[in-house]
Amino acid sequence: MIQLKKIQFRYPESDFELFISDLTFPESSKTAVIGPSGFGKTTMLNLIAGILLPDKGEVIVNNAILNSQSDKERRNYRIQNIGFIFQDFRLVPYLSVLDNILLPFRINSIIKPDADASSRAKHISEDLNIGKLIKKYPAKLSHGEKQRVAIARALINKPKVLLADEPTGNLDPVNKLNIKDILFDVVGKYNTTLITVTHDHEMLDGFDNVIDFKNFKKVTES
Amino acid sequence: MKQSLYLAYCYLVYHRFRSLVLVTAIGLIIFLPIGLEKLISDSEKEMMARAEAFPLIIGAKGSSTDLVINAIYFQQQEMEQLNMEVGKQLDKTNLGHSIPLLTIFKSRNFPIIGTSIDYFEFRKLEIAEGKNLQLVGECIIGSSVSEQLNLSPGDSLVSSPENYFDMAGVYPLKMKIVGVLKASGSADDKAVFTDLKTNWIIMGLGHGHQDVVDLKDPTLVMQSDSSNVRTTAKLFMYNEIDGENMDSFHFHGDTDSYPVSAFIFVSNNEKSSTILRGRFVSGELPDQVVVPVKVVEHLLQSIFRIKYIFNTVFVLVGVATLLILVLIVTLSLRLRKDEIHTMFTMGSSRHKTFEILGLELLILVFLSTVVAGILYLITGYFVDDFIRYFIL
Repeated sequence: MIQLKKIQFRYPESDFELFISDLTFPESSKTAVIGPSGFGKTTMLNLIAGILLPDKGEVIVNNAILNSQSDKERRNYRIQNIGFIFQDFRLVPYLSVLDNILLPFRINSIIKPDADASSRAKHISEDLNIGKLIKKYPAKLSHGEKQRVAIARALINKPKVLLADEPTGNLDPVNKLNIKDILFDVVGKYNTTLITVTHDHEMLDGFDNVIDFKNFKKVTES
Repeated sequence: MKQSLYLAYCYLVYHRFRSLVLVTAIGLIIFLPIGLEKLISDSEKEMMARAEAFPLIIGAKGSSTDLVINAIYFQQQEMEQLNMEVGKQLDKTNLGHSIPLLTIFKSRNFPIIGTSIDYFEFRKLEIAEGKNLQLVGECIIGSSVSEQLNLSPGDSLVSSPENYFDMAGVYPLKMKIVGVLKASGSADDKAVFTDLKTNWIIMGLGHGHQDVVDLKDPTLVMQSDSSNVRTTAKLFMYNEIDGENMDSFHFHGDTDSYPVSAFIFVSNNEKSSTILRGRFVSGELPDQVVVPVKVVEHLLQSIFRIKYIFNTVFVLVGVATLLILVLIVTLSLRLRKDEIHTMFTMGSSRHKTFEILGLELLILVFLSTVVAGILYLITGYFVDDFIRYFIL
């Protein structure tokens, strides 16, 4: 479970200020966060990931207060617990699909690329229907394929939380639905908590919670 | 570290053309100063070793550098010739003995050196295959000549004509190869040695032709009396010396007046050497005497001055390359901002990012050093060519 309590955050030398009085993301839930640009949706994801620290308040993940941890502890927490999916995929251009999926193992030594890592990467690739692409480089992939690779990379470390920042923003309508289905499948299959930031109101069907940052209140709750 | 190394390797392989350009550029910058240093120091050693082996050289008055280059490195220069009489005068001094050198002709781009048997003893040259010179028309070849032209005893070499358009010029002489010298790592490896007389025959000062006393064909004789026979151009001239025609070869005039390019003078001792040089200085002996070591030292001083200029240029080019390298790395970091940010977001540390980037640079520098090392080793094989084309 993730809890944001009495959060107050301000970027240095900026008028922007984010207040979150109390927000809870239950385990294995699917939450969509909507709202206009500049209202702090991505900032909230970064607070949950421990990349940003609140000026006031607490970010509590599985009973641990994230903002009381050191940089190293938060990095280790991220690599072990969080999977990231970005709007622009953020694949590393010089790595093959397989190496991109295995990237988390190569950038932080807290998780070792065990013997199963490679077979697990192949297994996830098959699940996401990109099994035949593992030797290709990102430049040779379509947008839909790139986003599947990004999802596979987010899942490789068996994350407890999947943070998706506009994961369908760069996709055509058919691929949007495909990616949404994949994300929902993943939550069920890997028992993950999904928090998705989106601008697309057509994508909101099926989420357990939808949080509108404009009013900053829950508009739907299943 | 292993994972960072893998990521660095992937980056360099993916951008292989860029990596190759960087490795080549850095490799050349590392190689150029050390390569030039090796070329010059090896050349210096080789040239000085050769110069030290030749105590005194006597030649016609003129450039002492040309004389030394011609006489000890066999790089044929346009210069005045001495004659054999000078050698006799030198030997009469009883201060040592002279060894003649005639270095005018070439055969297939290798110099033909007319000399005496003493030269081989003086240079301690040994025969690797075949035998020493015995008869006129024979030659001994250096090891490089044998290797490059694939020649061995029993084969033959033809002297190159001085001028292809000189129809009245001397005929090329076909010389029989009787021996191959052991490699000495000097100019001797790249020369063809003959007796002086063979060289004079190439020059046209001696020749062999069909017997003119018992000529049956009247078209061969222009004029004849009891002491002289003048023949037409139809008379057959021999261009190869063998057992059957050897007796027909003869020289016209006094051989003491025949040309010699230079004499090596092997003095009895240091005192004799000083006395001989004094006689040249006082004008008692005409022509000039040179100490090759001093001439080569003077020649090398000019090379060293040029080396300093080159080294300065290389330092400046190195600094410029380094600045370009810094620019490339900076621009590369800017281009890779998203990639670095993604890694950080996922849980990488700044230390890890610097480790990956540092390893990329380290691999590039390592490969550049390997390239420079290979070029450095190859440089050793070009010392002779460097001396021939850039120093002499």
